[in-house]
Amino acid sequence: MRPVRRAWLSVDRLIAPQMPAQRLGAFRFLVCLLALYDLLLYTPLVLSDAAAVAEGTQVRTWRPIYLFQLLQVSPIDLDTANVLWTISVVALLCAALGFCSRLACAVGAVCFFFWSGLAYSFGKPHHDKVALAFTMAALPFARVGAAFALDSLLWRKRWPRTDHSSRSVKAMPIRLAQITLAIGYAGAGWAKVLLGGVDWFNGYTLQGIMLGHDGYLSRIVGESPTLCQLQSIGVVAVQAFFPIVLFWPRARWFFLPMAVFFHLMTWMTMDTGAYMRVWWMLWAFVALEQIPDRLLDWLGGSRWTAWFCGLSVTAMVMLVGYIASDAQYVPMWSLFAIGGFLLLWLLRYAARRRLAGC
Amino acid sequence: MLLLAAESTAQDELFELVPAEAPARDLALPLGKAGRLLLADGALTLAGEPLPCTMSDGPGRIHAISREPSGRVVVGAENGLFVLDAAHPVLDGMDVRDGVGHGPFLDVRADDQGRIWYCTPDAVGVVDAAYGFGRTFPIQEGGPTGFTRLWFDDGRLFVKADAGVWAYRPDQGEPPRTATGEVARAELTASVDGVAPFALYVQANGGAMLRQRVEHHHLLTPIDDARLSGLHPGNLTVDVYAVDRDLRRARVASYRVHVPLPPQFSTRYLPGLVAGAGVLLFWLSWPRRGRRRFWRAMLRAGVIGIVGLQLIAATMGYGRSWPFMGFSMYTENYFEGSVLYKPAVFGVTADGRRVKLTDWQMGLMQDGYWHLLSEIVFDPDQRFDKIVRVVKRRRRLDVVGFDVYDNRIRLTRNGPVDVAPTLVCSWRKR
Repeated sequence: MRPVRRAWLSVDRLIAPQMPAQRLGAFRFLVCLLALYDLLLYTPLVLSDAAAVAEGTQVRTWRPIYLFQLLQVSPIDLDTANVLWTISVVALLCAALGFCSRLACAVGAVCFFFWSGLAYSFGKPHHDKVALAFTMAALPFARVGAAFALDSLLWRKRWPRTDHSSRSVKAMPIRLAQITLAIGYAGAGWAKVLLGGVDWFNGYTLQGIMLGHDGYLSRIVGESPTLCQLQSIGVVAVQAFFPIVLFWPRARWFFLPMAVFFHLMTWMTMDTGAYMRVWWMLWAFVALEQIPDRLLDWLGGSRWTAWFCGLSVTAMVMLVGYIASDAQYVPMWSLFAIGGFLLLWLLRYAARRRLAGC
Repeated sequence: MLLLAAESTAQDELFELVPAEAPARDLALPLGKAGRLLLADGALTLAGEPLPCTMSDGPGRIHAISREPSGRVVVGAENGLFVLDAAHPVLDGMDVRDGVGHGPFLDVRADDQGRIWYCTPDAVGVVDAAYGFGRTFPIQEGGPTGFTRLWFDDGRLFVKADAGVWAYRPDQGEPPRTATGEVARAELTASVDGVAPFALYVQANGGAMLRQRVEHHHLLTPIDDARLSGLHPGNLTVDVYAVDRDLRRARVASYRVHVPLPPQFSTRYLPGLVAGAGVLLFWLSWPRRGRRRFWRAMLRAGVIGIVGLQLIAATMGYGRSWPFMGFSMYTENYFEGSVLYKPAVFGVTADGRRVKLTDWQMGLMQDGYWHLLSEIVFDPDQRFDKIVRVVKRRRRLDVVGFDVYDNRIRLTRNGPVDVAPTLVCSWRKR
């Protein structure tokens, strides 16, 4: 029995590794905000379907996802949808802030599943929030409010003498997110190899996929079959070998930026949208609690490092702001203003650090 | 495809020998600002320049040109039927799916019903320009052969053959219909592989060719052996259309079809199987020592179970089991010569202006554009009236009609080429 026991212990370590509570707390914050963004993004669709159900003028066919078939879920009317929306938003906000964290995450996860299921049962299911869905489902089963949460602040207030800073927790949601993302990328990559075969790499296939959509750069990037052939190889290589990041953390320096770049390119060349619900989940592979110190180090480093760091952070913030605002409600100049202000602030901080160093 | 042996609703004499002379061929067509299209010595030129062609073999010798009411020009050539228009002055193979003869296409004529009539040396046929299917007229014993020319005059189709000029009057009698004249309705249960047999009696000139359209699909696929086929699991409405020899089309049946899930996905057995596997996994996961063994076992079984199900789903096709998903999307291959299709809708104003409309301006959801558009195309009177109101509100535009196009891009060795689109539906407010 000893080998079996040893195997199970390694499974325990694999599925629920010990990680700093701050990392799990920050991850909870990011995931719940993402779920809230997704909920708001699907709100017009779900509400218009619900209104059509209430009025009996349903245009889109109700083709329930398998889970809804099992549970015999029916379409809901507008009043129910409004109540559900309110509960979802409150729960996800509380979960993001870490107030009654596990309960809020549980309620938020159920609402998120139901909301997405409604949209997908009237349309077609997409892959972009698979990792988000499993992570939301996993959050209530971990101590997500142990740090970076209102709960932890209240806890500290009640027991001020306890040392909370060095606490580590079982980070099953983070590991589940990592595994789900790895399965997602590898599945997409190997499916192209196994189902598409050698012909998938003929250049015309990727060209056809890109030009079949009306992306901003479809025409430019998809113009040459030879260029598309090279891109096909690159895309499948990144997808198929992505699971390496689970076992070789240094590989993350290559695969994570490549994955983000891949999604940004599909956004520009296809009508998949920004796919932020996938690449935002890649934070699961990052030691979030180390980011502030690492950023400060880089900003205090050489002039080039500081510039690179400042520009990267600014670009990231602007990109996320642009996507999250759905590019329609927030004018572009305000995003540039925020970005400019942030860049100036970061560079000013860097200059001060360098002066202090001298 | 199924040709039902049904009594013809018109006289069966197809062609009769008539004393007539073939008119001169159309050798030149003005093509808007692009210039003048000229057919000479088996080649086409536009404004004096030879026309490029997207097909690697080229069109071969070009025999005839004819313009459709939409402005698109159909070209009959040695290597097939080709199309071009003023905005896309490049020869490209016309979309033909089934029932169309082989070239050389010696003459072509487009009529105002969206049909292309053609003749080859051995056959006379007609193609539905929007959906790409056609029928060929059977050659009667003692009837005409060796066709060379084809033209319309006074509602009659004239064909020049070896033995003289023959005439045929299309669209006689009633369009296809059931014996009662009503659309047949029934509930069917398909096999798990998506095949549902049915029984139907249809009257149509020359026998009925039956085609099916699955709800929210816009293609009319041929029916073989009185069986609906290619149906996916779920409850679907499948319309059956009958097409006569002149390609007059009528909906003759509407079936509500239940297609069961394959046994391995049965909503009765699969949850039981998963629950059983879950219990087994839980038992295997039970820690032999330590605290909170129940929760530890739950955690192990839950995570391993979810990861296992994800892996199983990943080996299957893209389906509706979200969040457990397969990855068969984007695995379809394209090749040199493949065509990409993109629907586009234009609103037509009272003064004849055509304005491109987005899905939002028409109140359509983006998630599956053809999905919604197909219902509108096949039932325009019911749906376009509502869209007119939405367009007025959102686009601040008064439209009196719509043209629905299937835009086409041909993939070639030298890069993608936009080619003449297909007009799928043209609707005008009455």
